[in-house]
Amino acid sequence: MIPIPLIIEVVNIAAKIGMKYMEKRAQKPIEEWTDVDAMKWLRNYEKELDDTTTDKLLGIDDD
Amino acid sequence: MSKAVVRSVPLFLVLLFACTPKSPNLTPRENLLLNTRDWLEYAQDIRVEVLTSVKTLHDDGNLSDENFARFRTAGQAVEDAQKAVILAQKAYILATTEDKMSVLVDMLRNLTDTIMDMERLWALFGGGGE
Repeated sequence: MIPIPLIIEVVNIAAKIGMKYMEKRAQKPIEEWTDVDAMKWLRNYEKELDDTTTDKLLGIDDD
Repeated sequence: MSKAVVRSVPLFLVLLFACTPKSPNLTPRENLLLNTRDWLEYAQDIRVEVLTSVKTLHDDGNLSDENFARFRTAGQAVEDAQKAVILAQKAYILATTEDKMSVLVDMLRNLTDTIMDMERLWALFGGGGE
């Protein structure tokens, strides 16, 4: 008998992988990337990083 | 199956995915850009996932201040490594010489090391909780 928490965990993992796959499919293929595309992706990533610094995630006030 | 093993499954799958050889049709430059994108995305996902869980554990009184501080240090190391890879990738994209490639590869290696350090720390707690 497979424990229910394990089944839930596996379903969650499958959902996460599925979401990742869909996101990747939505991205422009890397071989079609120009330098501008690469820079644009990096800028978006930097913005996300700024919004999710370690201290922000841990709820630590910088002040 | 222990909680730690179950928790390690997604990490293993993502690592397997990231390490799978890319299309042979890609040039070395495209391969490097693709690997960099994969690792940066993975670093962000795992850092956010682990630190969010760490905050919850600490808020609920299930993680000591000392261990909370250890995760903070590990998270900051990954964050700094992410920033270093971003800078190296920008330099590589804008560069006309190949030496920037080796810098990017070094920064990428450093990023994967810091990710693994944080994952090892996370695994010590069985994927969460003391």
